[in-house]
Amino acid sequence: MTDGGYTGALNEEPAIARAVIYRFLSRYFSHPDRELIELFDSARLEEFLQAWRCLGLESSIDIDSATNWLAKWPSQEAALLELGKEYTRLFVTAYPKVVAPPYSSLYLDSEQLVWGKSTAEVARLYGAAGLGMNGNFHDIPDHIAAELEFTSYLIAEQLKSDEPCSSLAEQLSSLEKRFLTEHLHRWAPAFFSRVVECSAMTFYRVIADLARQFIEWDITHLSRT
Amino acid sequence: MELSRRDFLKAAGVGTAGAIVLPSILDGKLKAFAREPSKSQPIVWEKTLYQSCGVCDNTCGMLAYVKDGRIKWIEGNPADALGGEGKVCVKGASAMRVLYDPDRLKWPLKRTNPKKGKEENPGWVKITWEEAFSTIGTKFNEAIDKYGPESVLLIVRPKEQDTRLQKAIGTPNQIAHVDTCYITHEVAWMAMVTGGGRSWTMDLENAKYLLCFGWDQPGKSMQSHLHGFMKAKDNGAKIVVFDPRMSITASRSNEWIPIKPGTDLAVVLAMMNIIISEGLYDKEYIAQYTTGFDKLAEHVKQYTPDWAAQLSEVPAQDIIRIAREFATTKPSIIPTHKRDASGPLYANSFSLCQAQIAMCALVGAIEKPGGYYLDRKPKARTMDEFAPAQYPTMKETRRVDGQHLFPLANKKRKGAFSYLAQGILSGEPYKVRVGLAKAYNVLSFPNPDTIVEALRTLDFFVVVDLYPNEMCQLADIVLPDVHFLEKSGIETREYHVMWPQIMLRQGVGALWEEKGWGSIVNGILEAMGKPEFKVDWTKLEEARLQDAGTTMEYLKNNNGIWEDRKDPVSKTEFSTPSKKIELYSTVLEKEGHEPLPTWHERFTQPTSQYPYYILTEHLPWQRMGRLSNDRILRELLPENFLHMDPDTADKFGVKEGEFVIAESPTGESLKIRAHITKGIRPDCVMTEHGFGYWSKDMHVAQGGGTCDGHLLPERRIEEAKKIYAYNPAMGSAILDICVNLRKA
Repeated sequence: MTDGGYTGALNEEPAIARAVIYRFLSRYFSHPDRELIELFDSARLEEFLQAWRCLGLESSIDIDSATNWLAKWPSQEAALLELGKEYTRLFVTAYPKVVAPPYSSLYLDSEQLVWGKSTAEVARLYGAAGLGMNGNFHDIPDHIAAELEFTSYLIAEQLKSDEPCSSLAEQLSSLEKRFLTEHLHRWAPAFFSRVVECSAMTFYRVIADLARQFIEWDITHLSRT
Repeated sequence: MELSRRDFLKAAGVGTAGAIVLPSILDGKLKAFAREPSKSQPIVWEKTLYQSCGVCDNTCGMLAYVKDGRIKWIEGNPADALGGEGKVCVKGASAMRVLYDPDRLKWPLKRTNPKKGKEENPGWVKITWEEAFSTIGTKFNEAIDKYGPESVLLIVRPKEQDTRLQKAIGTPNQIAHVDTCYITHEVAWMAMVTGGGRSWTMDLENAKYLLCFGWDQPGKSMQSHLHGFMKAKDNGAKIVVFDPRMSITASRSNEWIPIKPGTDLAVVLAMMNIIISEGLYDKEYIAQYTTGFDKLAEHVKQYTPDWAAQLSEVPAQDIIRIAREFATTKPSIIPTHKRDASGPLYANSFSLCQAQIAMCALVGAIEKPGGYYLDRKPKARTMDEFAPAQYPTMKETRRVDGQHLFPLANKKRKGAFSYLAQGILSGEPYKVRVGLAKAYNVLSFPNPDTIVEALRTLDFFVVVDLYPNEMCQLADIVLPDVHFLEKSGIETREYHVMWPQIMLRQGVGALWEEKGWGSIVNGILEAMGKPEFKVDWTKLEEARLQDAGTTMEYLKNNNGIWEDRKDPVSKTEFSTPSKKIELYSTVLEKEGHEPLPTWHERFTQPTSQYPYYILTEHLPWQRMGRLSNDRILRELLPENFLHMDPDTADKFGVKEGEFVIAESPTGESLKIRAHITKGIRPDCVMTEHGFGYWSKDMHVAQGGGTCDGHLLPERRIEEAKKIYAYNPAMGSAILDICVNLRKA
């Protein structure tokens, strides 16, 4: 293992931190529900912050403004309605334009349609990891939340593997690298940048900014391994 | 803040002995994925699916090729001999790009900005189906409790599930677009021939003479008509087209006669005069299958070729010659479908319809080879037979579009788009309060700004559609409609039904959370506390297959098609009071309408203020806005033009591609580029329909051209009543208006 590398289970801490952050981000970019708000409870948030610091990313964090934004609403319902409005505007259907369609095919493929070439590729990689799309997901496989969750899953599975150097761990590790370099890392920066630039809401601007910083960090570190 | 690695490990639960307990977030279940195949949504990577095209109602059999998990290619199902005959048209071939269009509606949405309008951001927020249904149920029930069931407006098609919803609610207001499309045909056929709807089946292939009045189905890429037309042509049929402009059909004809708009009736009446007076009609057929011939013969004597020539600007000798050719080159037919001259374009279009049916009867072109056949649909139980229901008694039968004043049109209960805006705005005979529109756009209405204004007055409005179009801009709740390529089940042939045919649908499943209309109706009924009216679609389809004597298995193993293929045996009885084709219609007479086709002028003629007839064209690659957001099709014509004769253009000093302004008595005007062509009468201008989208959420469709509807008149019920005698269908007379031009 190379120094500072993180792709195998031998370097658990940054790996755990990455898995944690990817998982948090996948929840942040899912349709807002009560669970999302709970992620900003102090204990859950601390889990995220620890992972963040662990990767040496603490200097640029501004998550307080997201937390404060959530806190200003009189009820969870009120906050969720606002979040839902912005989520719909950013990612679903909007007047005058969806800000950041959350599908890789619209960033990586030439056709400007969903279920493009890149969608099929990621869906095959999910299959290679033994996963199918959840029957309750009701969305397209290359949705940003799915891709973030998948990355988190791949890392967590490597960590759970009894034998860090087993062929399973190796397989998962190479799957992760391939997935990130060929897919997620290729479009996530553009996606998160659009949200940062165009979201009128502190909450999404902040978490998209976090996501962008993290993905940039991840791209840099992956390229060193 | 400094946090040591040890702290993190501790917090993260990493034991010092090497065993790893992962942070709790990673213990949570996966949301997007399932590890157990039973809980996951299988992806079909590669398969050939049977489908029946859902872009237009010709329902051509299709093969949809799935590769890499998506439909990559569509072609015709060669086993479908009635629809595409192994081919798809440009619309069918493009359907998959609509399926995968990122602009589509994906989830139910609700409006958070109460202000509705063109420039208002609705502030959509994604909601669950439960919330959508429960809101609709509550709002509809509140309106019913307070104002009665008639306060519910349903802008939907006259299909069985739509009608079930209407009857379960108990509102008379089920309103479709047919008054702008084909209601004249429906009522004339009902009165004179069928007692029900019109014939949608023509044996063009075996016809030797096609006499067309504005009929341009080959130019609409409707395949069963296109193939019949091409085969007739190959068989040496003569094709004569009366049309003020050179349509695609006219361009492929033997003879194009640029008739003055709205005078086709005069020509047909004079032709009947010739055919009868010269004894060229089919005497045996007339004797055996028709009644009222003598009255018709006497009646048309007044319509001489010279008289018709003056009105129509078609030379009398051509009228005479073509009448003789039509009667002696058999089989001959006057093909019709929708929005041709006898569609509801002009005030006299119904009379033209009557005249055309009579003229077809004169040459024996109904229920004979080379002519019209009544549709041979499979025997199948109706929805009400399958799921009998006790509908509430409808206490209020007056309708907001005024159609109750036209009993024959009202029998079809199809409604009238062009009268709706004035009905809503006037509050006569009462106010409608809540509404639902399914797959209809405000841009399909004449003078769309008025319907926008009218629909804005509703307290609550639901829209079901594929796209966030202009109608959605007025909605409180938007529900995503399923695309036909996502749907599974069966489709029964409705058009060109030479024999009964049922086709298999194998869908790819909803990409997001769209639902089919049947499920949506069920959801609304449940939420309204009317679950007894719900219908189990799967079981209904099974029952219908059983009625036809087939099964889903059979369809799967037999090219996706069941049919009872045989040459049609001609019917000898018709569903009129006399059981014959009534050339003199007792049904029309009974309701106080003219029983014989009689000459009437259209409403409007050119004046010095508005000197030009306006015509519109529907493009072969469009269909009710369903393909308007497709990039590739949009490239074919990014904006529409105003077609005009070179002399007309010279009058204004307008050159090709320069802007002109067309002004209408509706008070609206359009700025539009000129296209100069010899293919149109100098007193006419024409533009393409399907442009001028202003919904900002359809990114390809929006902008680009203008909406023809702004020049076209919405109607007031008083106008329809004035011509009651010859207007039983209550058509919109949608092109019965003239416009003015000036250079922009």
